Amino acid sequence: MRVQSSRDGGVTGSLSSWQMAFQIMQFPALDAPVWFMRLCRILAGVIGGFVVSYSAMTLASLSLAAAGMDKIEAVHLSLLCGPPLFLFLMIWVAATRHVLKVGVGIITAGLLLPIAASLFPTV
Amino acid sequence: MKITKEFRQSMSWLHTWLGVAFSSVLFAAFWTGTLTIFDYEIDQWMAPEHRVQTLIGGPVDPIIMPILHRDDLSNQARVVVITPTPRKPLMRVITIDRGKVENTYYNPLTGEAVELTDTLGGRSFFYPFHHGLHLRWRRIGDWIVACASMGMLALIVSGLFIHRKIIKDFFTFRPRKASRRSLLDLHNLTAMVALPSHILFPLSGILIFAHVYFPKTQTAPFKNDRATYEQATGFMRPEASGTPGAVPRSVDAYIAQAEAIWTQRYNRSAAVDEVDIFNVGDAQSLVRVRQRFPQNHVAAELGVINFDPQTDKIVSTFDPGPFKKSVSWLHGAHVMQFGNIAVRWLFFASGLAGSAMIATGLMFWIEARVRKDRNPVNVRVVRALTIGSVTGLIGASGAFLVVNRLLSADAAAFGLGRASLEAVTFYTVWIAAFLHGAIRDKAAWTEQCWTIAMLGVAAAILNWVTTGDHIIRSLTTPHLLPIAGMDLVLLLMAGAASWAALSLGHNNGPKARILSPGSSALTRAGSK
Repeated sequence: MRVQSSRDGGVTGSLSSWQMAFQIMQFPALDAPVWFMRLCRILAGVIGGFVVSYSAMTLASLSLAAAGMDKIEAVHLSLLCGPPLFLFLMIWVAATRHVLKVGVGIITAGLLLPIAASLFPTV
Repeated sequence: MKITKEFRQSMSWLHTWLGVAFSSVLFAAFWTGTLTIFDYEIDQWMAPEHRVQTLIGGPVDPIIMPILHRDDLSNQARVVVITPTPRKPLMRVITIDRGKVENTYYNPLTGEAVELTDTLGGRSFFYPFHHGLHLRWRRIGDWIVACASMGMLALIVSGLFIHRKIIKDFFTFRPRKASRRSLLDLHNLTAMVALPSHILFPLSGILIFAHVYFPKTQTAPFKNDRATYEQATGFMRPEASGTPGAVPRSVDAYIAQAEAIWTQRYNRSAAVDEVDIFNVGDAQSLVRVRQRFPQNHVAAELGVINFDPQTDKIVSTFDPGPFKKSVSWLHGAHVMQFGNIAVRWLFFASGLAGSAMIATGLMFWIEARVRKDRNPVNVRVVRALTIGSVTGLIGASGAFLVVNRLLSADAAAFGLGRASLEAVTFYTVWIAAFLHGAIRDKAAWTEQCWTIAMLGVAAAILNWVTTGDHIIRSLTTPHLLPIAGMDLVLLLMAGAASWAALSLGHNNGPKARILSPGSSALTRAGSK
């Protein structure tokens, strides 16, 4: 089955049945207002981007310190990398045609990274 | 990576909707941030007692020693000394004891305490508004501004993708074209001219408040203990023991020792600008000497040295490594407390360009919406919000300055002191600007621009009348040059607001009515 691309560059291409299930969850298929879908994407980018980048920064500062780097330096290197990662994720969520893959990826990373950070041996 | 039409489309809606969502907050942060570049100059303008000749690098002991030997200080008292600089002529001493905070200013030449006009000024009004919108509950204002900052970075990236002719944008401004076309030109031009600073400010702003937004990243390697993290950066906070100890014999000796160490280390002259004395007269007392905002270096927080007053020996030092220095550089570039006046003016111009970029983007969107949305109530509400956010905020800033010069020294009303009355005036004028926008609709642009022009001229005249420091006198007296700068900027702003009022009045006239929604220029502009 082929799904027409939405006005803002949404999903297109052939979809399997499980992909269809997720496709239905996309608001244009339900005739949801375009502004609502846009708002959802922005919110997903901001919240997902924040959770993933914050967790990644924390994990990076822990792992760099554990690897022997000066702790203050590890913290500040991680801080320098965090906002660009956050920005990249926001743009990616906004621009991607693969809403499903990116969404699942960000949710997975958002769940796994904080768990990994909490399990990391404190140094 | 190939930039497809779909990608540009998605960047276009991201640019539009992030802009719509955050423009008002971004304008507020950019406008007050731009004013904050000259925060101490605004303080001098609003509290004329600051306008004195100063002594840089003079002795601290004659002023601080009597305070440290005061009988009423407990052994938990903390005394902070902020040394004078060319921008801050007075020495400031903050005493914090049993929850009570005292701020006292001293003339470094005479050693006498100076009673200041009761005002929040630039440092205590515009600066907190810039980063937290004065919303202190759970630091919600800081979070809103941080979200807007990330939005700004995304706006810049998406803007770069949707504008295909970046170099052409740099040289294109057609003020005589239809208002929406010229708005878009001005939006592109102001974005491109100061692009590096548009990236620098939001990024560094987020890093400055990293302890609010990313606290775990900082404390995770320190077993999630903030005190341990602070100790590692030289900011230990010793607990008072209750056992009497020595009061520092000479703060100047500590300053001289620290400056000698830093001068040798960084191979350039170093000056201490802040001294913290913890637990005065206690056995667990500590003196922290900081190079917080070096005058000859962009980076902030270049070094911390802690002394033990019992032995006069160094307890600990902290010197930043490369990554900490990078963050410190971004911090220093954002707060701009260094001494280079030319760079500060360039950043001020960049800040104004950023404010103009946000305002023109918002105005362009509004004008595009007006043509699509036939509901007059929607149009009026959206336009009123835009007018209040842009010209309303500028007008409120002008009113804040004017009322500062009009209120008497002991002014009080409704249980509010002088400083609070100034803040109330700011917010009253701002709210009134929104209401005025709702009532007068498009005409409010012009009327508020004229109001800004009048406020600018009135502020400069009132400064002359109430202090005697007219522009000629300020320009010819070295220590009054910051006041001359303030007055000239106020008059230039008044001129710019008058020009904007005339232009807006012209565009609201017959020419705008001739252009139909289907005209090619407007169609192209509206499709952006």
